[in-house]
Amino acid sequence: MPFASIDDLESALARASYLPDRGLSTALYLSLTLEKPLLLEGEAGVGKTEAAKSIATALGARLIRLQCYEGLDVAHAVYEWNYARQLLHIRAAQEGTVDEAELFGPEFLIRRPLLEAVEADEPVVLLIDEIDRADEEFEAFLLELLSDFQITVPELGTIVAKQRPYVILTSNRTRELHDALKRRCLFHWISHPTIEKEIEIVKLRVPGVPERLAAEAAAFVAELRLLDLQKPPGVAETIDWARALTALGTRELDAENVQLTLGSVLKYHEDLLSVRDEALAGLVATARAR
Amino acid sequence: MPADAVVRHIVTFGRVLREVGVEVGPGRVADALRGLDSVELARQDDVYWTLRQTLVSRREDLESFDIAFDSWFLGAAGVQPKQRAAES
Repeated sequence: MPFASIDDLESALARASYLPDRGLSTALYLSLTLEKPLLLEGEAGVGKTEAAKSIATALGARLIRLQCYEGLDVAHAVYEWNYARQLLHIRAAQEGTVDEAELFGPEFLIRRPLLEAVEADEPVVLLIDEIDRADEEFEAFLLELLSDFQITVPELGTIVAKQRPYVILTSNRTRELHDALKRRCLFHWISHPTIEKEIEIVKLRVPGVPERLAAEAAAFVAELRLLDLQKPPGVAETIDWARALTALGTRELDAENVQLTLGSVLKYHEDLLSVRDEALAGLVATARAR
Repeated sequence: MPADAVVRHIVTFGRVLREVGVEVGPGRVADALRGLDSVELARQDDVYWTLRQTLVSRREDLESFDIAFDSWFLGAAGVQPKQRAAES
């Protein structure tokens, strides 16, 4: 276990420019200690993927990411044979005979993220991103992989992981995951950060941001998240916004500079339309009054 | 708190959770105990997160968990003083 305590893990993440709240640090610490995969759920933009990247940096481990999507299959998640190369090989050897075993040797194998993670010699963080987008059959396959960390390639035999990758799964909850998969994981629901935490994050990630601007921007974004928006802003948007405002030399929010820069916070036209004029002025006033 | 007291405490808490409708398998209780072994029991937030992350696997259950945790560990309702003393 690379970290002696939760505090220890938090300092390592802070050095990787990531400030988790206590709940997330506890989740990461426990999943490393108990050697169980961690399932992270939460609204888009709360920093699920970022958490996996940062723990990889903090561990000095290689991050291998599998982005899930509808129709994701073994050929794209685990391995497939490089038919083009096999064909070339057969052509080149046309004069002689080609040994079948040779054609299905490791050099003709295209390794996809899951096989890469199992084969890795060095410590690995395996991020299975947005598992809810993959089909249920794939989830069943994954469940098996997570229990024994071995992959069978019929032509080559069974490859067993030399060391268990540290696995983080994320889900945006577009569908409910299987209980069997959930049982295998620790579960953490990530909420948006508190305003205090978000101010800290902005100050860490946006060098030179005026103190007052960081506080007002965090408070403004927190107000936005209470509205019924198509896409409530995540921490990444707060950071982008604070960066833009700082670059423009802004020291504090007013209706005018917010109106000009709100496009880096709200990504949907409908959302931008619903936050303007009086509504916008009201939110600015609330954020400044805090 | 002696180890077997913690075990009894958590096993009973698992029952409390089932009563409020949160399904907790025996494997999860074992995870919770192993988890508690590795965190600072004096820190209430660490104990809270450890139990929540090991015992709950659905977002829908978080609210029930919080109610159960508050009443069982923080004595919000129906907890005898003796148990509260054991926790602090």
